[in-house]
Amino acid sequence: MTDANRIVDGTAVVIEAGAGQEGGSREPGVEDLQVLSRLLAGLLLLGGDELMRRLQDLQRAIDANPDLLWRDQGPDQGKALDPVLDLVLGLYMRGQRRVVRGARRGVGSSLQAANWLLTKADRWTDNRLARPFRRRVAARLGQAEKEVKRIRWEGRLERQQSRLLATATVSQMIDDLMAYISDDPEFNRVIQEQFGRQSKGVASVFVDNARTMTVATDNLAERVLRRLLRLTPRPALPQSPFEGKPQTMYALDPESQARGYDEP
Amino acid sequence: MNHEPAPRRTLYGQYAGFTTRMVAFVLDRLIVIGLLAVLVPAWRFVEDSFSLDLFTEVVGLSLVGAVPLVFESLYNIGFWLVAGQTPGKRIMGVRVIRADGRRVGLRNAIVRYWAYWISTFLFLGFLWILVDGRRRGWHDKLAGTVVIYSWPEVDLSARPRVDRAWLQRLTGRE
Repeated sequence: MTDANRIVDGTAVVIEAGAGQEGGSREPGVEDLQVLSRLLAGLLLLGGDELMRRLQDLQRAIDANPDLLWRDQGPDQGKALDPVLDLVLGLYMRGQRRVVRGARRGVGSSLQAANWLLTKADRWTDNRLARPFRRRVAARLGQAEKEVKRIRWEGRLERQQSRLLATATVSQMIDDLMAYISDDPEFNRVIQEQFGRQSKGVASVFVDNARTMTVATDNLAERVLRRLLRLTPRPALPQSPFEGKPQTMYALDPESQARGYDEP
Repeated sequence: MNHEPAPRRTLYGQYAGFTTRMVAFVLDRLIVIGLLAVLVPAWRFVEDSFSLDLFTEVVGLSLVGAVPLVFESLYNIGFWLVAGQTPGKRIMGVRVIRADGRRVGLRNAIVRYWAYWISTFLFLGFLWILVDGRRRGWHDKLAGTVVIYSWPEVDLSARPRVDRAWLQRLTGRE
């Protein structure tokens, strides 16, 4: 039995990695869709976890040092509508707390009531007349319970797979990007030019920067798309027979003909 | 032993990539929209000032309706013919030439402009630039043109390095 399989209430629940494939057949379209859904779910889970972690850290910092609250009064303090805003926000937060508390209490009471009802029903139906019907209902309920457990287990598996997939993908993408940044001559040249540039007009510097950045992005975009389409990556810029040759076919003045290129 | 230096690669004359071309494309659209924003009210002003008769007004209004398309086609075809590059392409330092290296002819320019509309379908014709061996979109293939970088040489053999360890520290991935 694989790690993915578990015994749920004495019944072996066999779920292979990639749960949800019915009949064991692998359909490429469905499989791709499921992998993408897992990736999306994983990204949401990871992002949500990270956001909650940061928010909770911040809240703990504020709780530990309440002076932080009054350090920045904000630009909209002292306006006429402030008391109304404070009142609305206070009411909203208090209402939220009450709703959560009430919901918790409601769920507890409902469970108690259901328990009481089931105990009573159990006592009333424990007779010769109702017993066959009771057995059938019990069997159905047992099946439903097993099904619910199975679905929950599938969900748990999917959650783990999604997290794993998202972590691996994000990590790989960052590695790729870093490798690209550190290896790509264009990107390196951009960085060098940012530090080495002197005595040029603002517009010309801006245009130069824009051109350099887009050239670097040209290669990056191609690399990403080729990876997605599982094409072999281009080792370098595509070879052009016009490389380095002056483009004098459009030159109108002798100076640009001699220069052979367009200045920004 | 004779150590010959590696051949020097330059960007100048290389096939231009997707992002640069898309930025140039967007710049051209913005320029066209800007010019139309001046031209259309100017025509309306002429109409109002000279109290044109009904026939002239009808002709004028149809012209105003067709102006964006006509103006855009003239803008693109004209600039490709005269300079091999529209203002947007000039800013981004790219140029359109024929696949054999000659300047764009009238037929190439007209086909290229109208093939833009085919490429615009689902944007696939433009995305083709990303996978094509010579970075040609559908409109380039149909018109027999290529787009190349036309700005000063870039020495690709000089490869200053970014310190990978520094990058890793920066991104907290030690």
